[in-house]
Amino acid sequence: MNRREFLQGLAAAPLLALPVISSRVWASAEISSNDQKLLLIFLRGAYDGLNLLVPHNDSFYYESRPSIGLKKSDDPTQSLLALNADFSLHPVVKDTLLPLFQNHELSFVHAAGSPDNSRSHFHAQDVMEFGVFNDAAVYPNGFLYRFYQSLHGGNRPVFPLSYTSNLPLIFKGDSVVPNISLKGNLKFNLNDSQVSLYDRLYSHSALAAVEQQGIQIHKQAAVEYEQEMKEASRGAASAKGFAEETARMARFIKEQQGISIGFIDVGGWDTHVNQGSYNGQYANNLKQLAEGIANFRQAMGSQWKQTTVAVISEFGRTVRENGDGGTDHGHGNVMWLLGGDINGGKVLGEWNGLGAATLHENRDLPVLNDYRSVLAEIFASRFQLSEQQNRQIFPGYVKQSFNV
Amino acid sequence: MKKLLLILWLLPSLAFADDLSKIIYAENRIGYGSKLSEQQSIRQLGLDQWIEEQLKGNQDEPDFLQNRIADLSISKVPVPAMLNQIKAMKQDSEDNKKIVRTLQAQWVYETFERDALRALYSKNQLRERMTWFWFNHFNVDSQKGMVKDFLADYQENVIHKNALGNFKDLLRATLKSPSMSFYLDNYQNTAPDSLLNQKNQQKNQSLKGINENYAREIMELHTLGQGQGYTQQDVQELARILTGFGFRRDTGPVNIRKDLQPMVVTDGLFFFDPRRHDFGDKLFMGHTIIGSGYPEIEQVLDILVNNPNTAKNICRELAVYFVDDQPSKKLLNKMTATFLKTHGDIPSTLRVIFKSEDFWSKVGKNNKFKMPHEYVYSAIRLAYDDIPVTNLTPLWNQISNMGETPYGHQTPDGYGISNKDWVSPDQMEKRFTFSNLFNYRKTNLLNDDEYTVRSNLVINKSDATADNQPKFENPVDYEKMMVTIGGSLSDNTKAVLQDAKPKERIGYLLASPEMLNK
Repeated sequence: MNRREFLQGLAAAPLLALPVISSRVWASAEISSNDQKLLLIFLRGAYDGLNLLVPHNDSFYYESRPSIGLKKSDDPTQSLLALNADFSLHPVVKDTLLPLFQNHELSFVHAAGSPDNSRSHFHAQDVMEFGVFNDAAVYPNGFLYRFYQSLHGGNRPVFPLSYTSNLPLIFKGDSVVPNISLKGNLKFNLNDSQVSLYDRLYSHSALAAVEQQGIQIHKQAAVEYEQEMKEASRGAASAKGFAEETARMARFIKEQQGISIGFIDVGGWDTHVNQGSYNGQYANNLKQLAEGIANFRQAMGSQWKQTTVAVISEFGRTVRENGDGGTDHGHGNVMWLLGGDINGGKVLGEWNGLGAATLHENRDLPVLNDYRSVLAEIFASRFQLSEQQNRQIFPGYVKQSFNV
Repeated sequence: MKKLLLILWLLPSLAFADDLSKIIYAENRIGYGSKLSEQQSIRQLGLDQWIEEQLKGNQDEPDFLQNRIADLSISKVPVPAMLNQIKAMKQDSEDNKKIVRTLQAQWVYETFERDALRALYSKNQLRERMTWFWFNHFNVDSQKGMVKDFLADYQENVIHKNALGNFKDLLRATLKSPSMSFYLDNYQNTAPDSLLNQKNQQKNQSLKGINENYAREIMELHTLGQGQGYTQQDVQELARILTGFGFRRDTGPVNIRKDLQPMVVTDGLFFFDPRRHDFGDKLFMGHTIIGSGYPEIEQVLDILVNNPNTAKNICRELAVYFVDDQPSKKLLNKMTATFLKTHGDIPSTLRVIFKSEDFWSKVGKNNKFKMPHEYVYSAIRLAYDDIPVTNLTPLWNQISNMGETPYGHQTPDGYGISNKDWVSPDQMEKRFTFSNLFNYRKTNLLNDDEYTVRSNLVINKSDATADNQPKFENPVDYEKMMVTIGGSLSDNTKAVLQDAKPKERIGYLLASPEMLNK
């Protein structure tokens, strides 16, 4: 059985008729060039967007960040990459994000984020994933789950998949969304008769659906993994770290014969101390992230044109650096949008400039552009959701226009 | 002979058939899972008395366990000597850097080894459980800088020592630990107009400032709970109070101006440095704190520990850990009242749980999904009983592979302790892969070969064995395991075990819902 046959077999298997993986059994399984692919990347720990997308004309930026601020310079390794009259990029993304921006495949939304003002990582992440901002500490499901539910039952199958070792809140709901960590070795060692006994062990359990999903997704991963090993043995370049994961994600997404909704999170952004400027922990993290995304774009090949990638983080960091060469918990941040069909090469949304008068509570970037509104516009324009559907995904959000 | 033994084992369990499910439950919830030898001592003592002994947590440990722990380098080398070892390396060459990384990796791994050995063989199971709980509550990440040098000491002398003591002592011990101070950056927290900064200014050196990281987390996570009665203003005021709280690298006398000497406070590596402190008055949660140096923090500890929100936050977390993801109001109220009345006495608060109807109503319900370390330890306890495993690296690898890298949770909230945090498709497959190792006798826990720990932290000693070429080992006995927990299995599980190939039954038993849950 080759890989394609295996995957088509999966599509026909009764297990896939479970509501959890796809909406229905469909007749034709060919890849449609219209099938939209969404990948959401969550930067946990509040990354410092202000040192990625620098408002290089605002002297307040330099006054606030005497040691970590990024300047224009003649030294190309220590110089900002100018995007337009107002903004520049961190030099560490020169070979990854800059070409994407110049090629109109990447845009940013500055001063973006959520209304939550707790400055607590954990609370802010939870409510961002719920997509609902009220007094309730918990919500029954995550917004990406509701997004999936609103596409579910349409005329194309939908594949939600979390590329994480645990199932994040954003995908929590009544039915189980599959998850898999794509790090390391992905061999699957159970034979069919063993699988049937494991299935039986859980047939009466509340974990039955979770158990079946786990086995199915790992079977599929093992097939993809085998293919990757074959290509590597023929000399194909193999990536490491996050770039390895994104290449594997692209394999999964390209094989999903329908609409894809993917999620992954990346940590290590809580830079209270020695954040660094051109080099250092923040620059290293940013470099790896950008390389992974550039690798993903490459690996998506011809399907990149129907792909959208959004990068979000729970809040931004203080505009002023603290006493330890780092930054503390803030509010507004920079959101990224990438894709083959994005209104690229722009800084979208509202921006009031950076100065003492425009700060939120005299310390942070304000949130002028609600992340929910940005995503809702993508849901509407790329996935044809109605405004009513968007309001079910993001109850109470205020609609803004970004022209994404 | 085997049959006779089996009957001898069966006899007591048949005689106390009604109690078996309660004993298994208590072993799973209060300890790290069922093993035959422990069941026998519970029967001898009686369940109630066994629980009282657990709450004391001071029973003598088996000799082999004491010896194994005494042999670890972390038991022999005090922290200042560790820091000196690293310093002596100077770290200037790649080779030296590698030696330092290997040393640090060894300290972190040995800390795990000590924890895992105790989880598997300690008589004081509840102390081990509470050690995990409090470490997770006061989480530090060993992958961040110097935390790896302090980890073994933090785990032993801050957490394990106070795990069944008083909450305020525990909180103070974490506050004074270099581990927490480094992890949440407070060692850097310096008043902008402090003596140190004035001196730096004169010398044209860079100035230090306020860092509010620890101030926020001590209220949000360690005591009051997120958003529970404090404001951003309180965070900033507490950050001022916490200026100057840090650590030093050795325990010798402090070299400081004479007039400042009386204000210095040291305790081991803990160091309150008056040169970095903000001596102004502060307004913290409605209380005026007169600027006086170290004594300010004792006032703060009283305010925090006696605040009902702290009692609520801690008791809720304990109830979720021991009873149910949605603990009843009745149980929480009773626990909270006890916590407040005893000013944070941990055993008294736990006793409320273990005497509650809520706790015992969950016998046989399997309502809590085990966390990865709980699952792996319970499988080894059931399969190996008192056989000492010699190679614990596969446990580190398995627990990490299931998403719970020991001491590797990056953020201060620690790992989640509810079902929603662990139940997922990927998790199920990982646990089956683990249990399946038993079918092929590939658990590899009894060899002394060089090993590999799969982690960016722990250096590969060699790529030889571990997971690549496991040795055949078969000390585990399916029938004995069935004597231990067979009585608590569902008919469905029993039927599957019956239909499985005899040599694969251990794997399915360990993969059953009764083993994945507790």
